[in-house]
Amino acid sequence: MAVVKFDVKDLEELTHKKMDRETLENRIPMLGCEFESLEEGTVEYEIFPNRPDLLSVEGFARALRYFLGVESGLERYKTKDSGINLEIEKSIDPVRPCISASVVRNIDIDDHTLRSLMQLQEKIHKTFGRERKKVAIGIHDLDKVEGPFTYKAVDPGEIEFVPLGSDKEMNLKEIGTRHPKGDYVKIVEGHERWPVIVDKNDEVLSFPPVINGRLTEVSEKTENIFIDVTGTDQKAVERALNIVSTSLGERGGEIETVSVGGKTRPDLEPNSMEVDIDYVNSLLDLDMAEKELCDLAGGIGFGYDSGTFEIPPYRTDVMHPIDIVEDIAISYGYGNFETSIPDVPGIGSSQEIEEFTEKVKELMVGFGFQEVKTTVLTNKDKQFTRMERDKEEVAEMENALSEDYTICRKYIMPELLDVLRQNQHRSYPQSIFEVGDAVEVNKKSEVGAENRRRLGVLIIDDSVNYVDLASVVSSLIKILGKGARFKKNKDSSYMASRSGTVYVDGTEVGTVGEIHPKVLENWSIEKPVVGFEIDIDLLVESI
Amino acid sequence: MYRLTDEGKRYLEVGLPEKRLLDFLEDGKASVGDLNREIDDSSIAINWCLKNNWIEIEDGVAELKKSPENMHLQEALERIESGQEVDQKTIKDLLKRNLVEEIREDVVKQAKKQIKKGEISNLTPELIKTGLWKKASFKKYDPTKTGKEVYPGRKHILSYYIQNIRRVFLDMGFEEMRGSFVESSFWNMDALFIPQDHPARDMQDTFYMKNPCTANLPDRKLVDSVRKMHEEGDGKAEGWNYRWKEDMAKKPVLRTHTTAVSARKLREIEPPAKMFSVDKVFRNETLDYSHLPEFMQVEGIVADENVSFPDLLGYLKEFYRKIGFDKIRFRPGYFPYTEMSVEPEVYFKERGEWLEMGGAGIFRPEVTKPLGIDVPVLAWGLGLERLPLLQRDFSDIRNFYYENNLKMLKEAKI
Repeated sequence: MAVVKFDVKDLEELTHKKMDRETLENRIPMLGCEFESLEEGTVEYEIFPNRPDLLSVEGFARALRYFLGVESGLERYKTKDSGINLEIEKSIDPVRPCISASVVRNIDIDDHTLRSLMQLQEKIHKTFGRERKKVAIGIHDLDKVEGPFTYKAVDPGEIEFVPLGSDKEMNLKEIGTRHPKGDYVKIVEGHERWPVIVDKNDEVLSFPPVINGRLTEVSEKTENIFIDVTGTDQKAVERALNIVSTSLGERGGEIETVSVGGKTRPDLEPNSMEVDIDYVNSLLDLDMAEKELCDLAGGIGFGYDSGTFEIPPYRTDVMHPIDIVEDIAISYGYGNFETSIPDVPGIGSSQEIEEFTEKVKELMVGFGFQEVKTTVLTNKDKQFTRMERDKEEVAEMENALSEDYTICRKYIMPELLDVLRQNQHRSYPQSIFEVGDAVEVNKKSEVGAENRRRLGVLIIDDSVNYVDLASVVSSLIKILGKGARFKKNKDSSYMASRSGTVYVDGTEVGTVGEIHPKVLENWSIEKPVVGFEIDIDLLVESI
Repeated sequence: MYRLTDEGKRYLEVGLPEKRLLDFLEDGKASVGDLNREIDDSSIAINWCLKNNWIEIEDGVAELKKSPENMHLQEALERIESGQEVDQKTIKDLLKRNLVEEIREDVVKQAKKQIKKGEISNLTPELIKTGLWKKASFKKYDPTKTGKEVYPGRKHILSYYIQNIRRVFLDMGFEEMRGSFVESSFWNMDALFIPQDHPARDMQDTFYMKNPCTANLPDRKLVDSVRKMHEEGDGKAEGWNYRWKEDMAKKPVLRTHTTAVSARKLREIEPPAKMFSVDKVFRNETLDYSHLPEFMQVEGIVADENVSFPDLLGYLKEFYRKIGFDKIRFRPGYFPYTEMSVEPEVYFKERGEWLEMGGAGIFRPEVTKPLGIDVPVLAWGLGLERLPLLQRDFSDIRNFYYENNLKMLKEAKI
């Protein structure tokens, strides 16, 4: 989730349009983003991960100019050759093989531009760049260094430079341990040699994807910018470069190409994709002619000519004709579609277990019980320790954020005791039940575990006993069409000789009994409790 | 103490049979045939009248001999009914004719004791049996006082919503699906074209399983076509351009959406098809007043060659209308497995604001093609807990699932 902040005035200047609250809050999200807040001239939007081109105010304003009708049609970015070369050494291949670069000249950098640039860089790193693993961007003051530049891998102890945010020379290893951004070293630390970009005089521009050198730090005095993008996916690297370069181009900079390992970059030629007009019309249930389609395409900055769309170079998300259909739909306006209900045949049918569950619920309510709903997620302490039960095999997570939720419940009754514990100051008697799914590990099943529908029931009062609930289980099962038989059991959650195992057709379906005082103590419950729990799936199978 | 039997009560009402016979004859005669026709229980009546020499019968004709001065048995019935004493001989006759029965002495005693106390607060079985209620005076109640509130056994407030939603979909001809909480990454993510390095797979969003630690993949052909779609697409589709790893797809997770169940179903069905489920999903988030690591999702898919984007919006609009939300609007959204993607928002009049209800879209061809579906599939995954949370008095989601505040659950209005 990338949330970006834009200065409304800056946005207005770049869009050439005044924006009131209604536009900012309700109109703009129809472009495909989520309004978060508007405070003191700053507006916040959540940008979806498919649109990294909206992460800068310049890119966002560009999209708005189309969306609000200020501009239309494909914008072609002009480039000149900067004459600068970037050499790529083979040594880089195992660690971070992809790089691209561009130059933007004569840019008037003010506070807005600087902040937007930093925000764009940070957000691209986080989302599109997968925390800099896939893509990392470096932005430099070109005039502080001299081309040609070289991208290579070096021994981490070999090269020293002053990184951004520091005034001491450090080698790459030291940056990993001492620099605040040193954490990112983990992306390359499995390799013997780590990447650097150096200039003609071996001055370090950057230690990608970790930190730039202080030498090329960009400030309001910077006029000419050198952009490097490194990563593990060449396509993604080029796309990020296009987004950053055109974003600065929107600020008035002149984009210039760099020869990157012999290839001219950035490549700002539009991509083209063929999309059948019938495909668009049938998916959107519209009856557009070429002309209308062309207008809608222009309204989102796409070019269109007889079946072929031209996609601007900063749009990195178009990977199938369907993506263009969506942009056409957005251009048309989601609110402008005439909704309809198609005539798709179908006979409504429910799951047998759900219908059966409803019957069980109805009967339990008839017996006077209140339905509750507890969480499927729980922990072993609740499910076993507090129940005075030996631990059993359960479905268990490996990365739970909270210690309270580390496994899936196997039984419902422990969770119901927790409900009673939390309702002790309320009036008595309390008769509660839950019918819901629990999870049982089953190595033979496809995913190694399966859901079991279970019913758990408890009564708490000053005086309750075994018969109070055994009669309910017995009657319940009888009404559901079966006979229940009860046998003595030795379940340690219950009081000795005051509990039974419930059988239907010779199959054990559950237990019933008076909860052991030790268990009640474990839950800090101070009145007697009786309970039962049965496997509803088993019951359904037997009926 | 004695009281009338049902027969005794009837004769009190209509008169003893012999009395009715005498009344019918008055001073004249009548044929036995006429008597049988006109008088209920005529044989009893004739017997008693002959026995007491009140009539005689000759050649089938009855004639009055002498009328009794008074019908003391009839009077006795009246006396007993109104609680007066009757002599022992008469009682014996009445007992013989099964017109009265004796009330058990302890019941009489009880009843008498109850009246003696003066003003009676509650009517008792003894007072009714003995008829002594007629002599009792009852405490007067204030009918404006209705006492403290009572609560029935009832379903959880969320169950009403779930039932209602299930009914709406069943009425619209949808078939219900059921899946398992533990699901393979393959069905939860890969089959939905979520790339293996997608942020949604990051540890903080998805619960990965320690046990079970591995899941089986479906057949090789399907796995390979999913792999190919991720890695290089299919000519039309560009794919994600990375190396897809089978091991990652085998990792079991707690399903993060019921869309995993839809994906499985798409593999099985032949369009046209309409499917739905209302079931639980899990996200690795910490608990607070509005977030739980598990919540319900309302899932639906419609697969048919003729469906379109406005149909998707139509289904959403109709669904919300049927559960009581007349105002709905659609905002573009983003999900890796749908395109168009839309986030419906409904208007809560209780709060005077628009609130986002979940996500919907048309499955990307990259999702449906490997599953063997070549028609558009409309799909949605909508939130549920927000409805009662925002419409009712529950300000904290923990009231539902964690604490189960019994007072609030019992008092919740439906």
